[in-house]
Amino acid sequence: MDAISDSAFREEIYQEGSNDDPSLLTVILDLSPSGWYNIRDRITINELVKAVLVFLNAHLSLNNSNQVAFIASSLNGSKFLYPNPERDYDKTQISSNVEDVDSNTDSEPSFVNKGMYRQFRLVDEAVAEELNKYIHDISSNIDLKKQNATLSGALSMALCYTNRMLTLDQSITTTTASAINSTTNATMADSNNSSTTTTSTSITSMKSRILIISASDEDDVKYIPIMNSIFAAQKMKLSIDIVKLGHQDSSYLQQASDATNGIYLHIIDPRGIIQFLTTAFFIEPSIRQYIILPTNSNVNYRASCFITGKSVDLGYVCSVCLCIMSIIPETKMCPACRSEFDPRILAQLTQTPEVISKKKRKLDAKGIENGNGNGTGNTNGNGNFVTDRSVST
Amino acid sequence: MSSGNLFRATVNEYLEGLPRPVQSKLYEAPATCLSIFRLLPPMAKFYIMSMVFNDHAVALRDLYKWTKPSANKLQFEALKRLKALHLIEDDRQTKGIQLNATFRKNFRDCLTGSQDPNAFGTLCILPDKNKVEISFLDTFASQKWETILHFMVGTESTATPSKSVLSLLKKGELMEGPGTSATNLKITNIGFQFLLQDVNVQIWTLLLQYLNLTQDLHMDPVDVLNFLFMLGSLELGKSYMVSNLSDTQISMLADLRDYGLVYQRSDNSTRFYPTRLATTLTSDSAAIKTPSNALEQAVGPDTSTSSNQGSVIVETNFKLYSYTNSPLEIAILNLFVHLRTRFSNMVCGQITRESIRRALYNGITADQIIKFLETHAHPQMKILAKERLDKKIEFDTSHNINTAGGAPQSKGKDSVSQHKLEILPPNIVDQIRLWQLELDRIQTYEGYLFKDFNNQHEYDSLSSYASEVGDLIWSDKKKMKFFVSLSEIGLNQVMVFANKKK
Repeated sequence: MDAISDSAFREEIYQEGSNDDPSLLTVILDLSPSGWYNIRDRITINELVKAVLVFLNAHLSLNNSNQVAFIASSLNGSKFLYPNPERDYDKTQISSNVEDVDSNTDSEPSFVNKGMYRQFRLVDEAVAEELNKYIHDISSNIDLKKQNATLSGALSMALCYTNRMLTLDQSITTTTASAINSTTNATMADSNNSSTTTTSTSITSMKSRILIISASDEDDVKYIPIMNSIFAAQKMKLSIDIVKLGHQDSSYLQQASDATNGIYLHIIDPRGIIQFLTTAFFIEPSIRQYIILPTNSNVNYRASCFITGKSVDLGYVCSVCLCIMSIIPETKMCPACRSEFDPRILAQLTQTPEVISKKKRKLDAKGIENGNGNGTGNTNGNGNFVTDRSVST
Repeated sequence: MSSGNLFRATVNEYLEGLPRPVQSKLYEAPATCLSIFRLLPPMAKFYIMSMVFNDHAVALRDLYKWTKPSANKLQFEALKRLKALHLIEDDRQTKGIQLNATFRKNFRDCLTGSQDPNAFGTLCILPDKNKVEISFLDTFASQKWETILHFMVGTESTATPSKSVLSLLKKGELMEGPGTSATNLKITNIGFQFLLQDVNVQIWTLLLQYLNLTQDLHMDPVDVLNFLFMLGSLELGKSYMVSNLSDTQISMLADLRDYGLVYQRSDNSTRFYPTRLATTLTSDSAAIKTPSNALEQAVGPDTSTSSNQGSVIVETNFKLYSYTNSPLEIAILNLFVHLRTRFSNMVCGQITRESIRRALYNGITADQIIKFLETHAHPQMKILAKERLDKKIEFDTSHNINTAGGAPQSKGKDSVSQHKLEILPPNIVDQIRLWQLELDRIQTYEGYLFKDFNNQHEYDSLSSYASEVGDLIWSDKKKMKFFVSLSEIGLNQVMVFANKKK
């Protein structure tokens, strides 16, 4: 008897699991110039953006209340291209109707067709236009000193936006523009604020994911902010998908997708990238649990040193806060939690390598080969001497 | 099943029932392609999207490799749906499947924006002399729709809807009575169920009746459907040209105006405005929460005084209070509540076993009742529910119970939603469900019994396959027997699998 009722209930759950709630897709486009310069013979930004716009349309076509956001990130900082609170979407539409020939010849003539479905057109026009402006900005004032890797910044912007969209009431979020207006209004007037909180009890929940498109080959992304964003994403149960162009794998982005049940693909030949986008990167959160993700399981879990910022394969770990170091700090204190290290163990660690190797030889006289290996490895000197032994306080 | 799914089911059923040439003619309109795509289950959407930009046929075997075994059932369903709509076709040469060529071309054009510029309606470029505000359209739509609903409930002193509406109501068996005169019509059980549903479902129910009617009138169903789907993709508050419509579509305008889907100033006006009812035609339940709420406001108590969405308070002792004096809402509540007292601005009642059973006998489901109470709950109830939920989550986080799914591999659904927003008292919800279960204690399945296996291994492989497909209803390992339900996919699959083994 139990089996019978069980199967009946299971069926019900299946149907619930497969229903499609609206979902939010945030695309982060990394526009760091050097990365794109490196792959200029394979794909241009122009080509990629065309594909991405079609991808955004495809996402919008899934469900009437699906939403997208688009963030561009480069060395000059990250910026929301869509939705943009400064932009009045209704207005641009009217103006483009009146002077339809002008605006078309002005900006991207090929990108956006007038007769396009309205939801698509609004997004595509905004992204194409703002992206033009943004790239113009980058090229006009390149600040070589400001070498901030802003991917982490863009990621946290995306997370903030997602969080807000998730908590906002469904009835307010019918259009993104109105959502932004309503929240800005709410912050202005307290009375409005209270009204939004009262209505923020929506039964249907929005699902979300983030797609990062990066061409940058440099691995000097800020490790800690990225990791923090990854953990925040985990908490919010949103997955981070990565499209990695360029020549090398990026271990941090790999980790980001791996930790959040996302998809990481290193696309070496980006021609026909739209096919990649519409298959591998089109797995909605609602069906993600049913699909075998086309992701790479060989993830390089490298961490980076808290002091030097370089990635380490072997290093020291603070036993209190698990902070990772490639060198022993001069202050003899953990740089993150400021706990003092035990001087005796520090002394042990900073001993000259010869002493250890001798001891080891005494300990296991048979393991000559092993000892030899240690000896040659350790003669590099103090600074580069690495061990995974932990430093205790 | 939520009402959103219900309306999908009805529309899909209708579309699947269309003959194939009609279906392929439908796919010639990009707006229709988009709308049909939106009506598909998520898995089917994924398959379509992966094939839209792929000119080659996809091998069926590859398709199976994409999904986990646990999703076999979903996959069968998706493919079945796609086949019924003839969206995918078998490719003989490669033994794979391919998208319908017309659909692929038009859907691709729609995504890339290279379709015919008039596919989504032609905007009137010249501004209207007397501008029509969105709020005006909303009141127009709700007033029209309200008239129909009020008429069904039999509210006195309401206008009678037009003849075409009356014939639809009768044809859909929502109302019955001798003759065609409006006074003789009485609401049926189906009509009461109709009242409990979402506005969107209601509209589609009427529109499908309308579609059946058009076939009798020798109107082209393709034209009609295309127009309906196009309406769904139009923009609220904008006016569109009548001149680009076909003759059939122009004749439809008058009917649609009666339902409140479209606003036209006069019969021979050259422009029309879609209302909110029309622009949300093809969206699902989540998306239409706004318009339905807006409608409830208008349909419910005095439009001016109540800006809140709901008015129903349910207590844990099965008492129900509703701050309303709308005859419509009271009539609906009366379907499943034993109403006791009525004041000038509220009614009190008790939910009893008898009252619920009466509703259930009338064909109303427990889920419908619960859904209705949830959507019409008083804002105060929603706030309290939210507070309770926040407290629970806070408690968990402070006691380090991991409900947020911090572990990346927590894919199980149960871990994701440990706490739900409970607007209604949980004991009420459970009890209503239990009352429904009382009525159907025995479930019958048609199917096949598999027995007399030669060895344990044979039994194991076949029964595990059947459970993977999701059609295994009962199995007994010791007796080596199992029972498979008679859904055509399941049985066929298991039979094919069994034959293959032999």
